[in-house]
Amino acid sequence: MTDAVSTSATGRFFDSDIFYSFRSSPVAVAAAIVAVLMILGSVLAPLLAPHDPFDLATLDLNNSLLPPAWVAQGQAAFPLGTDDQGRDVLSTLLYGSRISLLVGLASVALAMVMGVTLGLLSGFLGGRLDSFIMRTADVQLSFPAILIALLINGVARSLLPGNANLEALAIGVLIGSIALANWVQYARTVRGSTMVEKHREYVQAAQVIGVGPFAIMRRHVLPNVLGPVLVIGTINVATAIITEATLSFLGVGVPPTTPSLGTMINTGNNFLYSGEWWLVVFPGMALILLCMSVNLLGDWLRDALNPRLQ
Amino acid sequence: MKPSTRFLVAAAATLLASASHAVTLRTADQGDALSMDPHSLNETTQLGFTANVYEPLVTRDSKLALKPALATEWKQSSPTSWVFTLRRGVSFHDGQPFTADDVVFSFQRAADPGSDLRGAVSQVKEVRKIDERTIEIITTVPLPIFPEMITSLSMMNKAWCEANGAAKPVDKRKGVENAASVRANGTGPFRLRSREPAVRTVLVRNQQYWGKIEGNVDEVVWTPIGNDATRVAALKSGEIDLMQPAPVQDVERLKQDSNLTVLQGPELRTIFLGMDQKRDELLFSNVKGKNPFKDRRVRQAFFQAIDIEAIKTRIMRGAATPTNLMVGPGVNGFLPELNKRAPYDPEASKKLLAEAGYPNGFEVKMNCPNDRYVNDGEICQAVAGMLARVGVKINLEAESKATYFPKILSRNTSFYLLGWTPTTYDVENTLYNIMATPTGGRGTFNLGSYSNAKFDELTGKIGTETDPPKRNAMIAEAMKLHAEEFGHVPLHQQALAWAMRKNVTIDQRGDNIILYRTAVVK
Repeated sequence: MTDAVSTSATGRFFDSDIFYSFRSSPVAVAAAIVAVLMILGSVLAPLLAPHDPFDLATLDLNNSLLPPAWVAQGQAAFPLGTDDQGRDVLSTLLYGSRISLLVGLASVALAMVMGVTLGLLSGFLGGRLDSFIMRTADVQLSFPAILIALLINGVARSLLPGNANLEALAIGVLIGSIALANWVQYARTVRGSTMVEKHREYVQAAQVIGVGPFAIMRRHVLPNVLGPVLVIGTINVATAIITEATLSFLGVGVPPTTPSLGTMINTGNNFLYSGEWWLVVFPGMALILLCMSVNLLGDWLRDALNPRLQ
Repeated sequence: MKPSTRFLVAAAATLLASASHAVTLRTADQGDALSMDPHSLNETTQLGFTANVYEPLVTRDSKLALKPALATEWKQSSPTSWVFTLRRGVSFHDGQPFTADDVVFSFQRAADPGSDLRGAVSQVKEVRKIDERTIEIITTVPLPIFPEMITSLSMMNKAWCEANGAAKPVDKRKGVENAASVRANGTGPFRLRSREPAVRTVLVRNQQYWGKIEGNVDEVVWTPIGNDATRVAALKSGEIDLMQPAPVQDVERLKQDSNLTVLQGPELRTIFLGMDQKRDELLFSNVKGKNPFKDRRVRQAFFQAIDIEAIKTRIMRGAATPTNLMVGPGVNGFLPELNKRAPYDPEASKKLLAEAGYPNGFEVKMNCPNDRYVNDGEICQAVAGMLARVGVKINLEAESKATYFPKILSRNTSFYLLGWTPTTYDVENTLYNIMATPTGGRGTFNLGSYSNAKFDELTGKIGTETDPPKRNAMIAEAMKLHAEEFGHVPLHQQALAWAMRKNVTIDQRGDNIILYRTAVVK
């Protein structure tokens, strides 16, 4: 009888090494709390936010550029002040980080799927396909990701039919372009691990009993190469959020009527010298907090999953 | 000393002097001049920049009065013909002399389908070379203000254009370029030294210039800086000497900076919204099978949904004059008694939309530049918000003018924002280019194709009428017609603001053209 070990899934998680390492790392705990709060804030934005900044009909230009509530002329209805269109900054932050998180998570997920698939195929099948995929990856790696995202974004936009609903598509285009700019890392990592795994006995055993190559890749190799991918993925969420903010800052991201954090910083930037500091400080802080917490979590996960560091 | 030696010494001395004291003016605009070809885009930033390199026959001084440039004198020899005497001793930057053939060539070039200045020459029937120094221009109708109409029509060199495959201007709408888009050979006070589109364009003083260059600038470095704060930072840090426009939100602080001067003044430009009234179905809307903008009530609803005072005080910080007319004070033919806007009234607007059959509004895309006019992107956002309140959902596409102009100039738009300065400083230019039904050279910039036969007839008559009271009566009638039909939605005349370092002086002009020849850097 092993009475000390609980058998339920949650129980197992709380007893695991990973959770132990998490508990004993104050940085990870703090980062997790911040990240969870921000994610909750953005997910629950419609419930929490005092206004709906994306509903243009509720904006009143006469409320524009009000300072935060605690500054003279501030109004309690707009705790963090308003922007140049009369949008409540707090509400826009909550809704805006929703877009940032959505783009960040979705583009990482998409990049991961692409990268893992191509990496598996490349590493497992080898040959010309391998050279083709890896040379493409090399070429792409020689350019900064933001440049590639800009390029793909521009091309995609010019290919879109003119009557397309840009607001809906802009987010899709953003996700796609950031994903296409970032799949290389996953593909390289997975290819390396796959090349190691494919010579292992279990793979050979599966081949001997007649399992097809795609089934082997999916059922046997994939689970064994996913660990590092998750770590890269977590760290890349922060990068993807920053890329989205950069693209929106440059004016090629989401439309100005549905601002994300990057768009807000862009607007605020126009007022840097005219005294309306709240327009850039709050979204800037939100972006830093969000990215830093995700990044710290990623760092911790990398250390926790690395057997050599334990 | 032999004369030749003396000349050499003098030349060497001049060279040394200019090398050690080369005066550079570094200037920034919110957007780039999109081409170096003075015939390819009729836009002030563009033509204002090329006006430093190329020259017209007749130009304007800083008070905007007519002044001889490449023509020394001109007269109307008959109701439909004008004779211009060309200036002697003028040469192009590559050394070729300026001749009557170049004038004939330039007029032909500007009338080419690829030219964006066709409006200025569409009533020109023939350009005839009388002798080397005389040109006769025959017009299809009597044009009493013909010299005013050609002040932005630059003269180009025939041989150079032909040798470089640039005998025809390229159509900016199609995004193509030729040698004249990136190089230049004018007669102006500055020559183009280098051109990096959207990065940096460098002009140097033309030492062989035929006239006197009032200022002391040897070199001009022009950089487009789209971001307001970056532009202000560049000026404050001394990275640039002059910028246009000074962001309205920063004007007060810039004025308080003891190192800077801010020049402000009224601009002749009117900012307005246009709507596609021609197509039977809008390109970019959820209304299918019909075009809501064909209905006057919808256009009026748009007009009355816009809180122009809020735009003035909140977005323009007071640096705008709301208008009901497509031209502003200072333009000949501006009639203050007609300048009364229909009131801002969202309720009336909703009612009008309901009467027109859109009780729940509709959805339409709006095209907008974000680096062309003062706070253009912000104005569009505010308009989108105001229209949302009467139920109209705007899908806003705010982008750089480099992609915006090709789109709207090919009429690929349902609803757009544009600004217009009548280069003749006469209302006829606006009537002809912006408001008349597009046919031939007419209505080139009437991108929504507002059309009214009576209006077109009046426009024609206004162009040829010489009796001021009669002309004004017709202008009033035309303006009234357009206003009653809400052919466009005029917003305001923007104010211009240039900011510069204390050691720089330059002539500010109401047409917002910056002539570097007037700049003095101490």
